[in-house]
Amino acid sequence: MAHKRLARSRRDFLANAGSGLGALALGSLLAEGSASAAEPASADPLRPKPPHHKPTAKSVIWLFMEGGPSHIDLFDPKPELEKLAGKPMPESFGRPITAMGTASNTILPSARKWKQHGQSGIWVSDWYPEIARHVDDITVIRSCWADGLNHVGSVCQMNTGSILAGRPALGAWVTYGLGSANRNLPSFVVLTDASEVVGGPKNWSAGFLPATYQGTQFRNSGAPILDLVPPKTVDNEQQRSRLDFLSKINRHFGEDKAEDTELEARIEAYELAFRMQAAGPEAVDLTKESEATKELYGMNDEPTAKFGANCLLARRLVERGVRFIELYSGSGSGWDAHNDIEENHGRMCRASDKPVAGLLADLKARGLLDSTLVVWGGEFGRTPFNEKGKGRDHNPWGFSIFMAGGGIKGGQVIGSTDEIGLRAIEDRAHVHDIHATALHALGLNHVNVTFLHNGRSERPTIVAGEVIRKAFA
Amino acid sequence: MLNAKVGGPSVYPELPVGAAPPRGGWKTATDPADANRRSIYIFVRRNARFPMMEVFDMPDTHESCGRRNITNTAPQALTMLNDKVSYSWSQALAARVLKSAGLDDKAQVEQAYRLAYGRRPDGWEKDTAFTFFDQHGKILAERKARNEELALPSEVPAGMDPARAAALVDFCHMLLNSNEFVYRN
Repeated sequence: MAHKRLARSRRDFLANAGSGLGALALGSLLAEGSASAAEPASADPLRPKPPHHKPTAKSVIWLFMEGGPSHIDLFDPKPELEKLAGKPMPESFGRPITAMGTASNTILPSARKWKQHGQSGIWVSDWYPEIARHVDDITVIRSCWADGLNHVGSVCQMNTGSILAGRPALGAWVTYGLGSANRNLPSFVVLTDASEVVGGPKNWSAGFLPATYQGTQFRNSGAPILDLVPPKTVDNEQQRSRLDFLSKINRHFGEDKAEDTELEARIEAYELAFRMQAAGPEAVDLTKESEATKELYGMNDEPTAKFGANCLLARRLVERGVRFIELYSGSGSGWDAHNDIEENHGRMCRASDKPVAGLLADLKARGLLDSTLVVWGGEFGRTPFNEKGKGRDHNPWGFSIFMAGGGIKGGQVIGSTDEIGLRAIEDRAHVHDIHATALHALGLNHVNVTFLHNGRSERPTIVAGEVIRKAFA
Repeated sequence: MLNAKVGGPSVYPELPVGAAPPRGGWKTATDPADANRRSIYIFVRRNARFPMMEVFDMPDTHESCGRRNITNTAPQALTMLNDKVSYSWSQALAARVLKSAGLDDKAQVEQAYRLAYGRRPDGWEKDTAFTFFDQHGKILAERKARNEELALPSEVPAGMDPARAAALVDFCHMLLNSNEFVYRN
């Protein structure tokens, strides 16, 4: 006789007895539809869930310029810097502590040529000529600010809301809140174009949420995920037959352990793996795309080829129902222009301008821009004073991002920084506000996306965040 | 398979197919036994974790780790299903099963369960395994007829049908992939 087993620890039992019953009672008290720990354990964690309100976006494409793009050289012109060139900042600005201790260095004006673009007349520098053609479809938020000074913490905050590791990424919250619209592909995909993102996978981790909500990083060449393709000793029929057997013995093992969601999650992971084997290669196969499309994204030009391919891939994933796609430009802190802003940003802007513009144009032409929120930005901006003569230091006190599509109003600028671009002063938008806004577009109220963890109802924006209402049309 | 050697410099097991070597390079081990050292001996660069360790929640190397994450993801399933390292484990396990059980179906299933789970299979499990040998063996026989490569046990007893031997490898592979193998009772 096979012995009967208890596949849970005493700790699990006590935790479930406490929070399980407690959450159940709380759930009925609140009688509210927010996702909570009170859901039955057997429920499919990725099933589609209704939003809190009518969404203006189905998917998010987050274009992450990693390393910190300079707002004062791209979207936030500061003529005052010309006057102050070569002098230290006026005393009135104080001497903020910067990453490299550069606050007493002299002001470095932007060497860019600036022009107003489109009907709306939004200022964009000559580093982004292609994106500039789309200003009437975007909202530039010039008053962003964040808490971190260094890359690891700041990239982490832009992804998870906190500069400290351990919280769920925004894409994980979205997947938790809305479920998956395509069960054959991960719902939260991360694409990089160079080396590993600073801080690595914690930036797309599920934190304290169940792991099933975490992001999946696609690889840059060949199969998008390592080991996606079986070895040549296994064909599709054989794989299916193996997995059918595996599923049988797993269910047999789990018969008396229905309350253990991990067992079910692991069974589901194998089924998803099998479906991904077919759907993954199809989704990333760009060979079926027309020459015109490839040209649009800059794939025929070496400097733009890599990020262009990722932008095109992002569109294909949106078409296939992937909810949250995060694309890093310069993954591994590529935009970190400490030494030479002209050389670094000249190169990074060249690599990202045409691909981003191509993405906006393509989404629009296919009628997808209306339902896809595109966010462009880094983890912080850069300082108006120089570092090492020609570079700029980290600036988390004031920087720009832009949003487009997914219900966002076109052709407007929100907020402003002070006259030298050091600090956001008007309509200040913290990272939490940016997150609340993205969630709002997806139909989620950031205060109602909650998960009971360590006795606290955690939410994506921690204890802050306000939707930037002006951003919506 | 496990190489029980203790101590010494780090080792560089072969990277999975398609994995780019990390910045600073990867001096892939020339001695295959190095790949079977305990994973604590795998070389760690701050910016590069060994892919299989990474997929199984090896902590971020940039900062201290208060508590390791335990996750269940499709990429983990893919690694366990498709990576050649994982396949090589099941080829070795199948050979070990055959060594003591010989060509007898029932003895093979009992031995595999004993080695993988430390217990005997129940009647349902034996029956399910026999059905798998039969049905899966047919798929593999067809593959063999098409001259396709089969993954065989690392040692096959004389006179054993290759398709049936390959079915045992897949059987062992699925035991190693199963929930019971991963979770303590």
